[in-house]
Amino acid sequence: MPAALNSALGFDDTSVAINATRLIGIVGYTPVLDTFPLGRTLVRMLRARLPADGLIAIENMTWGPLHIVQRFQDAGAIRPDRLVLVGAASTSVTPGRVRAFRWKGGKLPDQCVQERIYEAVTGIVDIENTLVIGDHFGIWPAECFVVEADMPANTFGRMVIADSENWGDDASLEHHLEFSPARMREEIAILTAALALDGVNAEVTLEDKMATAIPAGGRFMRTRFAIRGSGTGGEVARGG
Amino acid sequence: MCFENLPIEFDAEGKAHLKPGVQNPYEYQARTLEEREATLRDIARRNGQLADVDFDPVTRVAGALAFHSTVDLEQRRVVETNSMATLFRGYEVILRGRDPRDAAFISSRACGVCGGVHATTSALALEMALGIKPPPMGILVRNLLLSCEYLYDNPLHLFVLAGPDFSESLVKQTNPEVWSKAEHKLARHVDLHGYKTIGAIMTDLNPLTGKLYLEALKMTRVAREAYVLLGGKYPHPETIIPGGVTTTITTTTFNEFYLRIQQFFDYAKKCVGIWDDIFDFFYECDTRFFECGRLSPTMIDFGQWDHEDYYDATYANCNTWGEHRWSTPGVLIDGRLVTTRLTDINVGLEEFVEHSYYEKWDDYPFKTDPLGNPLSPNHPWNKTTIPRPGSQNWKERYSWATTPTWDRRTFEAGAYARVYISALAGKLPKSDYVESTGTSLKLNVASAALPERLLEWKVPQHWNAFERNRTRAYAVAFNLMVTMENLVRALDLQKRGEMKVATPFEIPSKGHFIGVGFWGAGRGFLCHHCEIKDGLLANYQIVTPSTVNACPKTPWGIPGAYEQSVLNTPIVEDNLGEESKFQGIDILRTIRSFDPCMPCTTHVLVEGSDRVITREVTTCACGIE
Repeated sequence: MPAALNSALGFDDTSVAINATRLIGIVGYTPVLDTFPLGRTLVRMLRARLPADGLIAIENMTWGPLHIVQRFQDAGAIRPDRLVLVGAASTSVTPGRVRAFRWKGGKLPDQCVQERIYEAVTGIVDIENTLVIGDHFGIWPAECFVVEADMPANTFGRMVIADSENWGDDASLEHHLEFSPARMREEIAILTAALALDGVNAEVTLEDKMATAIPAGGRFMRTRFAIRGSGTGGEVARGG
Repeated sequence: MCFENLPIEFDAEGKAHLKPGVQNPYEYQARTLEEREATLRDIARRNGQLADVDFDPVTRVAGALAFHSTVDLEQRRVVETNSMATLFRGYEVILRGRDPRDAAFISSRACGVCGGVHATTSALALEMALGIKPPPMGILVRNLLLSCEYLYDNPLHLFVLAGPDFSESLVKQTNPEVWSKAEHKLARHVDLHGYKTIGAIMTDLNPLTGKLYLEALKMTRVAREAYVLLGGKYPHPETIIPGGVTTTITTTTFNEFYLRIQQFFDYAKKCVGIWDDIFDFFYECDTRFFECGRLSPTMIDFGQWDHEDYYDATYANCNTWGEHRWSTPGVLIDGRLVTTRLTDINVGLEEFVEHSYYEKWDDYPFKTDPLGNPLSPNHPWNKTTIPRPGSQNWKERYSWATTPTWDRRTFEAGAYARVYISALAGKLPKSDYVESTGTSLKLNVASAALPERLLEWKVPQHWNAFERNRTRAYAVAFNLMVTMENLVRALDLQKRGEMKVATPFEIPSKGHFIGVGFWGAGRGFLCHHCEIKDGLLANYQIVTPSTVNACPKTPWGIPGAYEQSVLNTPIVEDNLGEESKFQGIDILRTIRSFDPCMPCTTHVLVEGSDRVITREVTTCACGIE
């Protein structure tokens, strides 16, 4: 991304980012809607909380896990010693909740990694396939954290509609979404900045996240196999 | 006369009009699917067993495609299919009422794999609507960007998405006898790819560990780097605008670009060698593979890569500039090229929603196109997107994809369509690199470590899943040599000092305009139809290649390309009937041969729908919209 554009969006140019010792990567960033919890306002809030010494860079990591892997594999790239990945939780359980994890990695069967790669190259990008694929290629630093925002799947769509139908203020959004995007942004910014600054010493409730605990992605192929009985047209399920 | 079903004829000047005396020219009879259900019951009664096989999701197509098949176990045939897009996209709804300048940026998010082509198609639509003609360098840079997307997309599909279906690890499971033969079968094109046996190729097609698989991932990076040099970022470039591009071009830019592109010279030859060898070998093993995904070749492509001397963005001249593109627009019906005129393609286009989760619309604002050619009420310029989520019912509604037709036929779209149509049309501009002979496409691929090589794609005797992929392999070389042609032309412009890359424009605050972007994605056919009223988008319609291929049945019961090709597919796999082992590889090879990309077709989760894939919507620029 050209430096000017990157800068306008609040991100650090790659040349800065690869020299930073700590990195914040936003997975799911969108420039379309500033107020989206992973949008431009979040970047500005993070910037305001971080020192301007260039040691902590903020990058858009929405380009896809393999792009991220290749960016880290760049010859001569200095990898950060601390990384905080920010994004949406893969499953929504408690809308509005923000949680912080320490990534512990772990070995997954090749088949599981392949499934994540298949997803990634066909356009699915999320925190979990970024973590799994990055882990497989060994790009993550020892100190790797994840900040996950629990947003129902349709949050972005509803916020876009809200924006165009003039109910995009936070009070109205909270009424419709049943959580406040502004409060979520604030929590993300606090947790992320704290982890970027102080790592495991941050005053943050930190859970472990392990590769083996991540729910499987779409399987290589999921088939349901059923035999119809003679003449009946009914189905007897034989496979799951 | 290219129309056989719609009552449209042409005058001496080639202008289309409705045949006189036809009272309701666009009327059609919707047919229920009771008849098909009765057939299934009859088969079940006769041979006792039908197997229903659901693939949900068909992964490696981004998880938003489900496919239902019913297999006659005795005959090893598929007797019923339903292709289902499980998520709603909604860009047409999002864009309505917005500033037209938003269209390229928002619509590019329709796909996380090929976001640049949507941005370009949107720019083309606005250029036509508002009369904006880009400068020559703007057109050429746009062409180069498109090539990079194809160079990213086609190898990715060949080796990372479809390739594993032909790998040692999978074939050993599904057809062990094929693997036994492969181990000792000598490869014909060892000079192009370096593999002595077919087995060695298949081993390197193994996912995650195979050298060809990993090499393809590396080559996608090279293509992306080339894109980023000219387009700023990828996907979702913000440098593509109506009127050209916003990139600053220097000699260094072009040199750096060339350094990436030349890495594809040998790779393109290798792609052709690998897939020629693999598919020829499979045919030798079992002639039933000729039937895998078989269709009569019926396909449409708008052509891409505008010629800077001809493109003027007008609808009035679109047949001229279309036929001077570096791939030729056209309609192929049962192997016969019936037109290469963009107006004909546009006029014959309709979209139906009888089996989709949308309501029909009443408006019919455009009875004709801007040249007076007749348009259907179901034409995209007349369409209104009205989502209607509901439960799945194979006889009624079962997909978020619509059913696009041309002359009331379903058709297929793909990278192969631009090769096939360009080869038959014989209209490519003169070039040192590519030549259309009327029966073949000749590609003069430059030397690198390997010597210069003339590759020739010839119209195949059978049109099936394997030939789709083989033609896609030749499309890599086609893309590459079109890239070289356009790079040389851009360097010539640079020498002449013609470095302007964009034409400034204003959005008029008053007035009513329509336009269409005719373009292509890595997977083929892509158009955006727009209507601008008093400075805002009054309507915006996108038809993607995966919508074309994955469509549900027409209202009169004709299946779409996925559905029909699977119906034609024999089950060659050894494990049929053994639930625990059955992979459904023949069906999956067929579906994947279309390079399906369901993010193109579908996106946003809608409340109340009974089909929920949450992960899809918690993702990136691709999935989140």
